[in-house]
Amino acid sequence: MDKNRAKALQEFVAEAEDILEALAEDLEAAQSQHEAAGKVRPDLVNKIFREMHSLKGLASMFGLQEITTLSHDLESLLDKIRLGKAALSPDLFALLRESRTHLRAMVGEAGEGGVRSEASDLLRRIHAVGAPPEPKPEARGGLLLDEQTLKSLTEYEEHRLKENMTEGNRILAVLVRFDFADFDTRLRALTERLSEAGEVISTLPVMDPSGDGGLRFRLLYGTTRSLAQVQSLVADAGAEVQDLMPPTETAPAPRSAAEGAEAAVESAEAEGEDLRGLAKTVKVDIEKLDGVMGIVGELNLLKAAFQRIAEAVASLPGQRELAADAGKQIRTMEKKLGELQRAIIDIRLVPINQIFNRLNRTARRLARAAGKEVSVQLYGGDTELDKTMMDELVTPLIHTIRNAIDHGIETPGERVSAGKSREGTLAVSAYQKGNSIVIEVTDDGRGLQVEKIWSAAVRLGLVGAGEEMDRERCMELIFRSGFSSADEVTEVSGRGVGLDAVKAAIEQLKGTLSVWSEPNVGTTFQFTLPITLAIIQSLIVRCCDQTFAVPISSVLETLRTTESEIQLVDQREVISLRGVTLPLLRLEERFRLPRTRPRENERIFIVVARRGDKAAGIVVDDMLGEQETVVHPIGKTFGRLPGLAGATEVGENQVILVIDTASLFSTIEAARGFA
Amino acid sequence: MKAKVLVVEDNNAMRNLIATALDQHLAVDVFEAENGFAALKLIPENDFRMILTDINMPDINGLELISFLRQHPVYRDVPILIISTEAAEEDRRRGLAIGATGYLTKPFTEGELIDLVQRHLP
Repeated sequence: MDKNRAKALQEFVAEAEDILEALAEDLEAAQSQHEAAGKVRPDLVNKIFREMHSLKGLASMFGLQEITTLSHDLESLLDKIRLGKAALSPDLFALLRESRTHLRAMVGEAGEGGVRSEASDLLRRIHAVGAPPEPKPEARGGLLLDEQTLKSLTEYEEHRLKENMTEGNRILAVLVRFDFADFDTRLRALTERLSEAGEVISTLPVMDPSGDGGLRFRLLYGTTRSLAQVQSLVADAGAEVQDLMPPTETAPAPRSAAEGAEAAVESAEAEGEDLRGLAKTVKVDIEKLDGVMGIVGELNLLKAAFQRIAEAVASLPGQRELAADAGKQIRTMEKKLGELQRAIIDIRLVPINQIFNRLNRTARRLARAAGKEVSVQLYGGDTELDKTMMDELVTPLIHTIRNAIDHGIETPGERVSAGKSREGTLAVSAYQKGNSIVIEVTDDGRGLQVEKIWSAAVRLGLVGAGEEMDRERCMELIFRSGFSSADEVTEVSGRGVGLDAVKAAIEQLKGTLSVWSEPNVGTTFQFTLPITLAIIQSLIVRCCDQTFAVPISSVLETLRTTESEIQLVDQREVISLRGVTLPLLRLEERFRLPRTRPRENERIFIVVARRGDKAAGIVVDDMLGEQETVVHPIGKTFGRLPGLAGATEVGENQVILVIDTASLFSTIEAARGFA
Repeated sequence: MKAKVLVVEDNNAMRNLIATALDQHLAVDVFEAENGFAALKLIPENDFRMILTDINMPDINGLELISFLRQHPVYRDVPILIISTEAAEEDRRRGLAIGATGYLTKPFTEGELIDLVQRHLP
């Protein structure tokens, strides 16, 4: 687990600090119980043991040897204490508190690069403890304990059962059924009530034979109270109480859980071999898939070359049959290449669940850090999209989730005063819509505060002071770069931290981002993305008898106009579009296309495409329509040509170039100083 | 659809570590439960193909959870792996006795975890 070690270590430190904090409180509570009553409640001792147990497990996973050793030895000591093999004393409490303080320091050092403290003195003192208390006579009266409960007891629970019997307590079984919806809270409440008058030794969930959707539990309970007293204590929970101590001596002695366990371990080990299965999946580096896709692209170019040869052969005298045969083979090859392409794209698609788990974990962590109560809901985990896109999506999604938790969802107190539930809801849902994937991040928080966004925009000069507020424009303003970094806006709007970065990342993936918000109801960010970047919808255009594909995602609109509409401003060709000056570029100039014959008429088409925040026009001769295209990287053959995204094939055996508007415009800008 | 795997562990960092490793290396959907109650809520609603559980947990411990699963008509034969420590040897034996499929002892490497899970994943 070397990868992201620093990050993982941070997580260890945070978790270890939480554990040590709880340990400090519990040790203090245990000590005051001990001082007041000469003994500590067993469940508290067990909790302290579990805390040390968790810490040791964690430290060992992170290879933190010094912390592991100290916590391991403390765990062993606490295990002895909870199993009645060592007794608590004021000296022992002092040792435990000192050890905790030492562990706290070691954890801090681990987070800062390495543990320097050393614990040999503490270890020596821990090892010196352990003179067992006077062994008590083991009480082993017959107990009417069912096999399942008996076998499910942990070593500690078995010890607690024996202790209760030794102390002469009554051992009871409490049977209870709860509805599925709230069994946890109701069972905890029942356990709490029972604990005031005794000890809940174990809680076993049992199958409900009625199949009514409820859950049944069998509690093993040790108490000094009578059966009738306990019955009245749990009556309102509808629980049934059984006395497990038979009045006579004839009941069979309970089987030791360990005895049965040994036999079963052997049989489980014998079966181990048969349980081995063969893995049916292999993991493939996405770059290898890209490589295979590139080869398919080159094969498509080859196929077009064969097609041209076949056409040439067909024109030779007497070779028609041969040419027909070649044409047939080429069509079969074309079909197979298509299948190969679809198969590769299919391999690239993965369910969005792959990142949902990460989002869920991050959201819960962020909520905890922000002191918010948030229920995270994830829908549509089976929705599939391209693996590379999925990886690129994580950061913008986490950014959006962070925004929703930090600024959208209110604190529990604020929510209650606004008449909402204490717990906010954050939902991430994904679904397919045509050839797109839609991902929505919705919170039920306070919503965007449009008035404050508007006044900040006025202050920043993004909108005129006299203009009337426009909700729609507010939604756009939060994505403007510069706007989002303005501190006071972030403060009051509660939104906008890096939303421009989110928008840029989504646009990079040829997607769009929109936002919906309602005051006090919540906010939804909607991402719409193509399923894969390997297949794109393109606009097919023609210029100087050459055909090109322009990805639809970068096209804002298309215009039909005439050469005479083009004006020259500062040596640059522009056209006026609804009062706005649109800079133009000509494909023939960019790619040095020879114009073999003049245009038949004045008519031209302009593809208006996104150029950063603004737009620019590409002048073409004709527009041939839209088509779904598979973009192949053209790689080595052409080198990396600015202005081109790759090649694709359209119709019968025709390979055309795909234009990348972003790099097309940037090269022109550099050459001509575009504004 | 990918196989669903449930990780039951009350320690957040440990659970994260396991879930992330499974997430990254196997074609499975990882679900997480921070205690036995959370597991009981997820179990009837998801067709888990494997369950990994800690033993020492509050409310309902791992043995009680295993015992319940082995009576459950749907989960009678689903592989259950115990995540425990050296020290908890006795409880691990008891877990295997009531039907756990295998176990992993902390500390374990990512490779050991993936290996064991892969071996038992149906």
